[in-house]
Amino acid sequence: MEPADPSPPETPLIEGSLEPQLIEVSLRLFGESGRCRFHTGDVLVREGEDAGGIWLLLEGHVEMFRTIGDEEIVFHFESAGRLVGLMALSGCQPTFFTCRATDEVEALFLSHEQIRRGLGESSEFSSCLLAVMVHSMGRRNRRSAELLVEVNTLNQQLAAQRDQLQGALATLQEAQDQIIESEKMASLGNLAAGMAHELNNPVAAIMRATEFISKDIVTLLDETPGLEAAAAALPLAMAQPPVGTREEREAKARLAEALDGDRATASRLFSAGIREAGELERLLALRPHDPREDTLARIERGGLLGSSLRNLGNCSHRIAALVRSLKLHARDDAEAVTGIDLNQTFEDTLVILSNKLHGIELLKEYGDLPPVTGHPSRLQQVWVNLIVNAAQAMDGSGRIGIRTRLRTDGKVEATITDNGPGIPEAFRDRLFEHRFTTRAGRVEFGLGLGLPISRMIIENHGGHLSVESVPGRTTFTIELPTQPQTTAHHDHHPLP
Amino acid sequence: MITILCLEDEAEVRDAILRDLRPFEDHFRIESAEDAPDAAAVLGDLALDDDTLGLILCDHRLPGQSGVDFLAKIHQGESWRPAKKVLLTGQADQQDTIRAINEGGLNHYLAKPWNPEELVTVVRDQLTDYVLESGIDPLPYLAILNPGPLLERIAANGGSA
Repeated sequence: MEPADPSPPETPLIEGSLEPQLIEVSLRLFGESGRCRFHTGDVLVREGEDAGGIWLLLEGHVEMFRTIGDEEIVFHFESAGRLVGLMALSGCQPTFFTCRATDEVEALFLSHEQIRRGLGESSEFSSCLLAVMVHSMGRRNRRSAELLVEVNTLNQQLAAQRDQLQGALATLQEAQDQIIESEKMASLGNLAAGMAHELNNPVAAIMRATEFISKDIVTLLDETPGLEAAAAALPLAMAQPPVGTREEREAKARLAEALDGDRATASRLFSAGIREAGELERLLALRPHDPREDTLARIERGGLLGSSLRNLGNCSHRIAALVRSLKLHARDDAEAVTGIDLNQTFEDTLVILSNKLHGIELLKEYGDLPPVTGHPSRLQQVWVNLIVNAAQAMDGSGRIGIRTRLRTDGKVEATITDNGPGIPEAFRDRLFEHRFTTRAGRVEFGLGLGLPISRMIIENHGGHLSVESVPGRTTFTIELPTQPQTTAHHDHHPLP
Repeated sequence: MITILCLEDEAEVRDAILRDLRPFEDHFRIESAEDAPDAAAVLGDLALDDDTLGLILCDHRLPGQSGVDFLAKIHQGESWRPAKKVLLTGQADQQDTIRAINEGGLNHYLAKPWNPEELVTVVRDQLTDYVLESGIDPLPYLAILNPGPLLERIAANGGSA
């Protein structure tokens, strides 16, 4: 709370009001005995005490305040008029304000007794006192209205400051969250890169060991008399392409039919990589003189070995692909290569993804393209991301179109379009943010590392990756320069 | 015939599970499906062949509908409700698991990578419960399921199932 307006009074000390007349008549009636001098800081009356009368200010100034808590709140400075003890007089109450001299003050004290006498004996005193009281009350009333306005204004200022502070706090909080988030991403990136390096050796060893086992077993079976059927079943099973469970049931049913309805044997043989009755007959024919049951058991055993080896190979290749994609987090010093056939990178990618895309219709329109320069494996990584995203967006069934063309401006353009539900408007702007994923806020490392990295890879190739999406049609467009990008591998940004 | 249905989208993992389920293949029909629609097709086949569903071994993460959603649908429907439900997963978070129990009537939870002996034990226990609860003649299953409870049931039925 501020003190009342300390500016000089607008009206002269004694104006044409009745105050001088009251003083004059009081002096006339009661003499000089009540006249007192006060110095700056002297208290004329004290809050809560009985003043026993009123003071008429002859000269100088006073302030009127109440002590609230530890603070003196000034209610009147110039606004009280020249009468002190008015409220106590009118209400017959203890003094409401403490009155203190702010400079040299000369004042005249009128006791209750004197006032009563004056009111009884002098009509001049009565009318003067009444007029001065009304005048003074009016001024004080106005002052309290002003105080109310002042309080209100201050409250508004306080509220505005509070809002400002809250805004500042929220901004700070947001900044802090962002720092934490980017720190998290950075450490996640380091972790991923470290993991990739650690996994690289064991996975390479697993891949090699799988191949060694395959060769050794085939050799061993080939060299063991009587195991020809097993030896032939193994590579057959290893080479079988993966099929969906629906086709699997159909194939099993056909096999069972050929086996006189023996569903259990059909199922076992299918697991061992036998898809058609003809294949089985060919294998059985390798040992025409052995009991059929014995040869069947060996075919099954050999085929199971082949299936397991195939699974081992597939899975270790998947781990290797994952490791490769994780390694994108770390600095990759591989030199850019020239003469990349972009269409071929798409074909290679589709081979890797073949078992992720069943149920999806692929439309390919490859244009005649000049070679581009860059990192084929990183470009493939982008294609994997975009194609897998598209397939996931369509819940595993729909159409993905891959088109490439040479634009008139000399750039190569590739588009990947799906007919899925589209990217919700709210997400579209944030798709390429590093931490953004629509899957329940989790950072996911699937086969690829998402759109931010895809964009980074394309930009490091001197190109541009953009997206357009409406329900039923989402298109990612990649444009790449055909001029050699000699700087492509130098400005490979680390993740934040 | 009582059927074991394995719902798993990755072919290599499916192969491994089916291989681990081999001890059951002489006594049970074993089917696999890679997604929920295909699992529904298998159920259609079972209905046609007049076979029952004894156990679903289900991955949590499937393309399209989640494994938990599929279990919930089975559990809330009439036809296959008695089937035992086992979640075999490497990914389910706590919320998925709570939902699988509350809405899917989950009977057991196995984490990937699974221990084959444990898998066989869980499947054996669950199928034993299924046989007992369904009032199916326990006699043919003495050799493959838990003989103790099955024998008790046979004795309670007065020696004849």
